[in-house]
Amino acid sequence: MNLGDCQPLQCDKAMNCIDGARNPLASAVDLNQLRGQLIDCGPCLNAFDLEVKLKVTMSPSVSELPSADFRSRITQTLAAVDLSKLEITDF
Amino acid sequence: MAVPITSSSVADPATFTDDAMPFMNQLFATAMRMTRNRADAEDLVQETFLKGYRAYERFEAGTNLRAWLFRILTNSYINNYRKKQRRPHQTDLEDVQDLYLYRRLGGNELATIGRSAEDQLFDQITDSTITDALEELPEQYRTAVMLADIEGFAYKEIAEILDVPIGTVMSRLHRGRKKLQEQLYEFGRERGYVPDPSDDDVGTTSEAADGDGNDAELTPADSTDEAAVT
Repeated sequence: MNLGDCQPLQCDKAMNCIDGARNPLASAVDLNQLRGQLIDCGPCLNAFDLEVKLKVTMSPSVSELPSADFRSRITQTLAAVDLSKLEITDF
Repeated sequence: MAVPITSSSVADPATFTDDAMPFMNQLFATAMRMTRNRADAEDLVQETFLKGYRAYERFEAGTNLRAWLFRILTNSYINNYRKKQRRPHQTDLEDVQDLYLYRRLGGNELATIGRSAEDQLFDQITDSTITDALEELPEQYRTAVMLADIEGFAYKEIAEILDVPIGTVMSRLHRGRKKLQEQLYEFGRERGYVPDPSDDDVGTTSEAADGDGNDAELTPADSTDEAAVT
């Protein structure tokens, strides 16, 4: 491992991988594949892992889930609405 | 010659509820981030579902329903809610280093304290902290960061949702992420979770002189690899 010799900002490969790191809780992107491209460079790997950690931290908490009442209301509204009378002007 | 739309390629409105309801949680969470208010988020999601239902016969079955619904959500938010809210103060997105948190917490120059400071900062970051930091971003950057880093959309999907080129998405993400990291670092610094920056070059970067403007486009080849552009 090439610890300490690489400046991630100057490493195009690292920046590409880091920019491509998406929230692993919400995407199917293969982070291991991206991570594997940085395995020989400790600083780049640390930077990548920090980016992923931040994205995981950004995931919404369970407190932001819709209530059961709201879900029910949406379902009932969709069941009751008459499409022919539903006019949308700014879709 | 136009290709006729066959019945099998058009979505059936009768299945809309079953098809769309699985995305309710994601739509609502994003609406909460956008509106910061449960009642407004509910209104926004309800509007999204009604618009989606009304337009579902225009949706091509088998394509990306999640992205389609998020496009409706985002457009609805922009049309109806953004104007009501206070505009975030203008921020200079060029004036921040790439990999801001890494440099402050885990970079070579701070390697001796990096990990503990990182852990301490992340332990203290709450949903509210994230939302506050996002709110500091100009709208176009904020939406791109939310769709990519919270919802996990690919660049191509975000381009479709926002109806902008992929290069514009990448540019907005790159700048938005840098500023977001600076906001989070400042949060930690103000509370003593992370060290004060020394009088080095943080915030006055060489790449700021790269000069591509406020919303300049990047190309996939310029800033990411194929694995990232999915």
